[in-house]
Amino acid sequence: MAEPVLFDIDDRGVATITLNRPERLNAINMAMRDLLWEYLQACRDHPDVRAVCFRGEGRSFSAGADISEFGTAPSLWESRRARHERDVWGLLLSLPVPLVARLHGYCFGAGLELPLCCDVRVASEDGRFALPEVTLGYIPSAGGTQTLPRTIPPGAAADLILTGEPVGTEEALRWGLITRAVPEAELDAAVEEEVGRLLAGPFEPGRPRI
Amino acid sequence: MGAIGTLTLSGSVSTDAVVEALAGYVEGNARVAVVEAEADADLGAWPGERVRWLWRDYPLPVVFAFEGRLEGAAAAFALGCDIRVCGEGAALELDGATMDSLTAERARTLLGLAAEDAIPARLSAGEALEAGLVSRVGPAGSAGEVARGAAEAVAARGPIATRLAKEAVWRGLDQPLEQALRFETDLTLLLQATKDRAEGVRAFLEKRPPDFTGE
Repeated sequence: MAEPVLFDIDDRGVATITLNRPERLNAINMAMRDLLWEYLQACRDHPDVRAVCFRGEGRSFSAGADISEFGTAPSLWESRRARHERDVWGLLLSLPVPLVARLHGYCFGAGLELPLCCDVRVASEDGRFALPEVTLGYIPSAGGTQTLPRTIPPGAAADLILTGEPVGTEEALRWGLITRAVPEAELDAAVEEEVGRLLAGPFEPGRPRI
Repeated sequence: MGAIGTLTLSGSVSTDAVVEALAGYVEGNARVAVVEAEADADLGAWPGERVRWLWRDYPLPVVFAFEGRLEGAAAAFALGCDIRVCGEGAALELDGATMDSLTAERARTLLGLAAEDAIPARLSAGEALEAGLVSRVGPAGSAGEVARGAAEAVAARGPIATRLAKEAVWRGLDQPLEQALRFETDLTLLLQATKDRAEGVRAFLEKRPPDFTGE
C-alpha cells in the first residue's frame, strides 16, 4: 500500500507534502498525523527547504479527520499529552519558510485547518470549505477555532464555526479564507506561480504566527 | 420552549427586558437565540458592559437580524451578538464619536481594525458583508428568515459543542495564539468526555442524524 502522506524536496528547495489517501478523500488518520509530524520536522531542520507546498491526491484536498478512529485514545490525559508532545499544527505555525496550500474539492475540518496554518491558499473553483465539527458534537481541534478568527473577520468565522455550514470559493475569497481561486485546469500553474513568487521575493507571513 | 429562542425588538424595549428574555432562553434549554430588530426598535441604551456580556458571558450563540437602518443602542447590541445577518438595503451606522470604549473595541475586533483606526460611520449591507461584520445577506425583507436558517443549523448541532465553540472563538481571540491553541485543546478534551460527542461520532458512522441531548 502506498504511503498515506508523500514527501518530496525538489532542487529549488520546495518541499511538497501530498495527502495520499484518495479512496477516503484524504481523511487524516493517526498514521498520517505521524507522517506529517515527521515531514514537518524535516522541513524545519533541513537547511535546503525554502518553501512547503501541501496538496491532496484525488478528488478533494481533504474531507477532514478520520472519524472512524475517534474515541480510540486511551484516556483524556494521554490525548492531551500526545497533542502537546506532537503538536503538528503548532509546528506548522512556527515554521520559518512560506507554506502554500493547493486546494480542491472538499476542504473540511482538519482539511481546512491545515491550510489555515499556511500563508497562501490557492483553490480551484470547485472548492468547498467548512469546519463542520459541531455537527458531530465537538469543536475544531486542529487550531481552527483560533486560526480562523485570526484569518477571516471573526464574525464570519463565528458563523462558520457555530453553524458548521460550508461556503464556496466566492465567500471564501471575499473573507480571505482562500487567497486566490482559479479554474481547476489552471490550479497547478497558479500554485507554481505563487511558489515562484515566494521564492523570488521577501516573504510576508500570511498565517497567524506563534 | 423550542430549541430556538426568538426575540423581536419592536418599539421601546428596556435593557432589563432584553436581558431577562435572553436569560429565559437559557433556562428553557434553548440552544440558540435569534434577535430580530424591527425598524422602530428603540433599546434606549445598550452599554459596553452589556455588549461584552453578550459575546463573553451569555452562553448561547445569538443570531441578530436587521433590515433598514440600524444605529445607536440596537447597533451596539448587534455588535455583541455572534452572527449578524441582514436584508439587502439594510445599513449599519456606527457613531465612533459617541461609542463607549468597550463597544468601540468590539467594533474594531469585528472589523479587524487597529486601536488607532477610525470606525466607519456607515456600512451598507454589501459593505458589511465584505467586511465580515454581517455574514449573510438575503433579499430585502428576508433577514428574519435568513437568521432562522442559521439558527436552525446551530440548533441541530451538539449544544455543548456550540456553547464551547462560542467561548473558544471569542475568549480565544483575546489570548496570545500559543495559549489560545492550548485553550482549544482543553475545550476539545472536555467535549471528549460528553455523551453528545460519542453520539455525534456514532451517528456519523451509522449515517443517520445525531440525537444530541446536551449531556
